[in-house]
Amino acid sequence: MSAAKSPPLIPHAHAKAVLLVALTLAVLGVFAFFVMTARGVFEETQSLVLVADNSEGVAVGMDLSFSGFPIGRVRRVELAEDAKAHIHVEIPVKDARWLRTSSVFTLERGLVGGTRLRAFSGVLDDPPLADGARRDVLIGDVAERIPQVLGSVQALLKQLEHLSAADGSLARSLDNVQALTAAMNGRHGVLTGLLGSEGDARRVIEALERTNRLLAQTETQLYGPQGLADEARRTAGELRAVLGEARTNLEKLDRILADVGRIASNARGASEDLDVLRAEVEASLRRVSGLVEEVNRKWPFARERDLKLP
Amino acid sequence: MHPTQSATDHSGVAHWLRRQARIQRFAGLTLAASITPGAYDAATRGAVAQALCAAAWQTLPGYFLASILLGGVLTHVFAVTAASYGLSHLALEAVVRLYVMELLPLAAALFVALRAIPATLLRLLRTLPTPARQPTGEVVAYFVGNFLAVWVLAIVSSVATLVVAYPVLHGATFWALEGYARVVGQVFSPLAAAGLAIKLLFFSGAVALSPLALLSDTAPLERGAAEVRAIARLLLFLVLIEGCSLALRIN
Repeated sequence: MSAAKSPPLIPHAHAKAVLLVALTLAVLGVFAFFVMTARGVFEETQSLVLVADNSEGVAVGMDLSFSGFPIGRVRRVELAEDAKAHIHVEIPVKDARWLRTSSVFTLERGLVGGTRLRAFSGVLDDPPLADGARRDVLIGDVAERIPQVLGSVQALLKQLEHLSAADGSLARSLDNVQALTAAMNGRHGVLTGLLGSEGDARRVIEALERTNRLLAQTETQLYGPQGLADEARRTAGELRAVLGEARTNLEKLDRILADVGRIASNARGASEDLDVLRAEVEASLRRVSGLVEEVNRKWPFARERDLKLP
Repeated sequence: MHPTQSATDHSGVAHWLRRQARIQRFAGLTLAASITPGAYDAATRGAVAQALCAAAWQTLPGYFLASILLGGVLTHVFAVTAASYGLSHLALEAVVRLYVMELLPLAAALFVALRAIPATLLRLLRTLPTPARQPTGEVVAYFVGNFLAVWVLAIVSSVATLVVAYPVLHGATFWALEGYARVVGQVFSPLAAAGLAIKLLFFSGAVALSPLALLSDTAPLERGAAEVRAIARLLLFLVLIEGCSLALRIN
C-alpha cells in the first residue's frame, strides 16, 4: 500500500464544478442550436422531387446550389416504382423564389470531388416553382466520357502501331527517304536522287553539255563575223536605200500624175511618156517586193510559210 | 500434458474468469450507484466536485489552449492542401470529421485518464479495503467526476476548435458564416451526433471505470502497478470502442 499523501483539497470545488458543468451545458446548448439552425430545423421549407435515371453520388444532406449558393438540401433518395431515382430536396421558402417553372436541374459528376446538384433559372419572370413539384434531372457525367475517350485512344494507338510497323507506310517512307538521301550522296548528287538512276542523270548532264555547245555555235553564227546579225544589218541598210529610191519614184509619180491632170485633154500625145513611167514604177515596185521577200527570208524576220492543216 | 500442469492451467483460467466477473460486478454496482439519486449525499457531492475539479478544472486551460492551437494548425494545413487540389470546400468538413469528431474526444479521454487515474488510485487504494465489495460514496464520486471531466474537456475544446477554424479558413469576415454553418450542420447530422455522443459516453465510462475496477481485485496492489494496469485496461477499451465505431461507421 502506498504511503503517499492524499492530494490536497481544491478550494471552492463545488462552485467550480457547477461552473464547469454549466459552462459545458451552455456550450453544448448553443452549439446544438447553431447546428439545428444550420440544418434548417427552424425554417419553413417546401419540397421538390428530382427524378434521375441514376442517383449515383447523391447523398442525403448534399446541397442543391443555384448560382454557386446552396439553396436546398437533399432529404431523401429513393428508388421509385417507375425504376427511377427520386431525389427529395427540401428548400427553404426564402430561397425557393429562385426556382421557377422553367428552371432546369442538373446532376454533375466530376472526376475529382463530389456529385453536385445545380439549378438554373433562365427566365425569372416565370411563375415560381410549386411546393412538391417534380422535375427531371439532366445528368452530366465526366466519367461517362472516359470509355469514348479510351476508344478513341485505342483507335489512335492502332493507327500508330500500323504506321510504325516494320512493313508499315511510315517505315516504307523512311526507307524511301533513306534511299533518296543515299542517291543524293552519290556521284551526280541531287540529280541522281531526282531522276532515280545514275544513267539518267548522266544523260541529262550530257544533254546539257550538248546544249551549251549548240548555244556557243549559235552565238558564233549569229554574232560572229559574217554572222546573221551583220547580214541582217546590211540588208536593213539596203532596204532603207531601196525604200528611199521608191519614195523618190513615188514623188515623181505624184508630180507626173499632177501633170497628167493638166494635160489630160491632149493626153494621147503624151501616152508614150506615161508608158515609160509606168514601166519604171512597176520595176521599182518589183524590186521593193523582192527586197521585202528577201528580208522576210532572213532570220529573225523569217516566217513559217507552210500551211499546217489541223 | 502433465496432469498437474493441466490442473494448474484450468485453475488459472478459472481464477482469471472469477476476477473478471468480480471486476464487472463492481463496475456494474458503481454504474448503478451513480445513477441512483440517493447515493449523492453531501459528502459524495463534495467528493464529486473535488474529483471533477481535479480532472477538469485544473486541466481545462492547458487542454483548451493545446486543442485550439493544434486545431488552428490542422485547419490551416487542411485548407492549404485542399486549395492546392481545388477542393477548398472540403477542408472544413475534413477538419470537423477528423479533428473534432475523432481526435478531440479521444484526446480528452486520454488527457483526463492520465491525470485522474493516478489521483483516483492514490486516494482510493489508501482509504478503501482491498478487495472492495461494494462501491462507496467516494468511488461513485470519482466515477462521476472523471466521467463528467471527459465530457467537459471534449465539448468545450471541440466547440472552441470549431470557432477558431472559421477565422483560419475565412479570415475576419462574417460573409462566409452561412456556408460555414451549412457545412458544420451537414457534418453533424442526427446520426453522426448520436454516434459521437455514444462514443464519448463509452470513452468517459472507460476512463472513469478503469481505475475503480481494480479496487475489487483480491490481490493487494502497489499503486504504480495498479496505474499501469488501469492505463493498459483503458487503452484496450479505447481501442475496442474506436474499432467498433469504425466498424459501425456511426460517424
